[in-house]
Amino acid sequence: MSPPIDGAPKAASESQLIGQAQRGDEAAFAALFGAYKRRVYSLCLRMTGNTAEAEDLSQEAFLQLFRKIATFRGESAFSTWLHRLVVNVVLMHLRKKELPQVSLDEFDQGQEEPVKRDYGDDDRRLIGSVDRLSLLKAIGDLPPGYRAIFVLHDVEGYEHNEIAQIMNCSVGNSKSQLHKARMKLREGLRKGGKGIPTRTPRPAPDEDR
Amino acid sequence: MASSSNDKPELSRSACRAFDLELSAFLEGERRLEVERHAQDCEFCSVVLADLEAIREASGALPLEDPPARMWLNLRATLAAEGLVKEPVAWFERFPGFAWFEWAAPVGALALLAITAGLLVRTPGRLENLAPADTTVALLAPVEFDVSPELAKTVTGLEENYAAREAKLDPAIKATYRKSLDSLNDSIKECRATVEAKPSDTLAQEYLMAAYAEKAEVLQSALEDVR
Amino acid sequence: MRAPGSYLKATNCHLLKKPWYRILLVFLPISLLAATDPVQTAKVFEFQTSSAPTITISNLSGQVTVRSWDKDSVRAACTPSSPHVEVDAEPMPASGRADRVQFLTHILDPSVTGEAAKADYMLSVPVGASLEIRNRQGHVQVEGLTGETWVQSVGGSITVVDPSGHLDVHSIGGDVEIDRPAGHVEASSINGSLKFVDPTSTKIRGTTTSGRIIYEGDFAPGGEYVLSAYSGDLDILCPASASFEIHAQSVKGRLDNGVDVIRNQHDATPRGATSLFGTHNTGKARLDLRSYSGTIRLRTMR
Repeated sequence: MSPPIDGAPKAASESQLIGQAQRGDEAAFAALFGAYKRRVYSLCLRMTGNTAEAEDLSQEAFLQLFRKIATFRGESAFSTWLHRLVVNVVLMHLRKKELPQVSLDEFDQGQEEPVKRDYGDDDRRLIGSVDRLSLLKAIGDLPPGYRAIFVLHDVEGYEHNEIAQIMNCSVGNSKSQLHKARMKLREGLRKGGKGIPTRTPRPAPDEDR
Repeated sequence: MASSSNDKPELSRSACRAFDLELSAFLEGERRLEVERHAQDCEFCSVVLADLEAIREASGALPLEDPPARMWLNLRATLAAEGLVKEPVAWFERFPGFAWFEWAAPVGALALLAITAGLLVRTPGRLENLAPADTTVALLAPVEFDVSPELAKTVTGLEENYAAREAKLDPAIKATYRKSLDSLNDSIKECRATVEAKPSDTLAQEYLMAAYAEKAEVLQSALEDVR
Repeated sequence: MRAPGSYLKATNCHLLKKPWYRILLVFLPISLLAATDPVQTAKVFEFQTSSAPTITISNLSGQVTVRSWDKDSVRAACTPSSPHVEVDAEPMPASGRADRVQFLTHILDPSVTGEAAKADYMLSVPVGASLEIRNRQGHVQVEGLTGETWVQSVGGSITVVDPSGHLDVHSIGGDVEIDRPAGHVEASSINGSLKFVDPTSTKIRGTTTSGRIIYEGDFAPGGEYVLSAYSGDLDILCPASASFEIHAQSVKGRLDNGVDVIRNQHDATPRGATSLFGTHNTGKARLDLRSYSGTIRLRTMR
């Protein structure tokens, strides 16, 4: 039997499918899995930077989903509920593995040295549109805490107040961590050899202005 | 030509520092005119800003990734073991007139379990990441490296089941199934040899597992077609 | 000696001038044929439907052709090949406009196989219809639908032309051809080949074991194209302007690249595999090409 592919479930609305899954209907489980597998796996992959871990965590998240689905009462959108569940599964894993401190504020102290840049270090832009594969690699190379915040905000579109709640840190901390993550990512991308100029830099401006 | 850091005036450097301080807020959508103004004046900082905006844009547009196909097989096996699913649904249930194929569904489920077992034999490390109370572990705990013959035995069982009924098939359909099973057997044999010679060959492993999954599907389909 | 056919001419020429006799001459052979083999006659079904009904067909063997038309109704001409075959249709709901119409072929005598177990289907359906077809032997042709299409076959070939909805087509032994798809495509075969012509889809996945995969056309920006064969070859023919990132890999086969690809430095391909990991133009689409022992060929159109 093949699981269905991504996309809106065939011939049944999501709420119908959830109802069927709550009654143990395998086809409904398969349809829900098919509809969300890519979103779940991609989130896990980006937050861990590792395909084996992403696979395990996605599986764990779906198992938790199917075990808990009977308790879903539709107070929030199903996708939001699932997304939150996945983030929790990944963060639990990261905390067990790499973040012994539950607070990101505490975790931050253990990060690598702060990201600095030398003024006038390099005037070459990253290639016009950032190369997707290099970007994925650079995200994977970020320290886990930076990676989690970056993925939640810039990839998944969470707001800082939501991240603060999820990560158990302050909004300010979330913002500063995100900025550091972006700078770190830029550094990684430039080291990765993507600093190829796509156009000639503008003529030097009048510096004293 | 761009100037080097050494000939960058001190005044401008302080403007760059101010830019750095405000950059984060600016990127968060807060109004920071000085950031915009400085980026227009300073090529180094304009590059930083352009890069960060490019990274943000590219990150927001990252495509979704496909999980490996085996994930559903693993999940399906665990759901079945936990009793979370009831009746499996096969294609023929879409068509009421084909209800006599119903007996084939448990065979398919068996094949899936067999494949799942095989997958976990191939990736024993994965089990360590699951919580100890997880029934996947309970279900598959006895599965060790020597289960590969078990898997082969299960698939062989399916094949025997099919061979006993194959004669009832329409000759043309039978020939199609035979040809596809031969192709899959060849690929299983070849991939198995590659994996045994080089266990790190992940691509060969993926092909091997895909061939097993396809073989189980073909056998299930063939058993369904026996009238 | 009298020329062949001249007897008819000589004896009946005056009768042919009468219109009723001409009609008789035309219909007599048809009615005689019908009397000797009555099941050759098509059984015609017509149902009023919604604008996007789901049509299901389950058939053992025969040719199934589904075309779109601009009416909210389904017309089906079903031709069983022998008296042992019966075709049944059921609209749901039974009265009013149907949301779903099921067609089912019954083989009345289970010992009947081959030609005597065939039924051909010719359907006209609303453009927005979704299809679920299982036809074990014989060609399936679907044209111009915007709904979802699911086709499964054992030995038959499948051709889908101008589909804009989601497409899910699988044949165990037959070839699959998809022309100008616009929606997401999942296609597979074990022994058959897969051919994709001029797609505008942003997602195509195709897998075959021993068949060949042919892709002719451009790649949509942001699109994902995953094509995998086991022993079959992969042939990609795209315009020189195509923009993609490519990851092509073969365990034991060859890679024949005639496209100007800038190799990526983060190539994580396992050692020993024949691979290509790089970017063509600005890398807007993503191609993942795999073959175990076949050749992967990349060419640009002239």
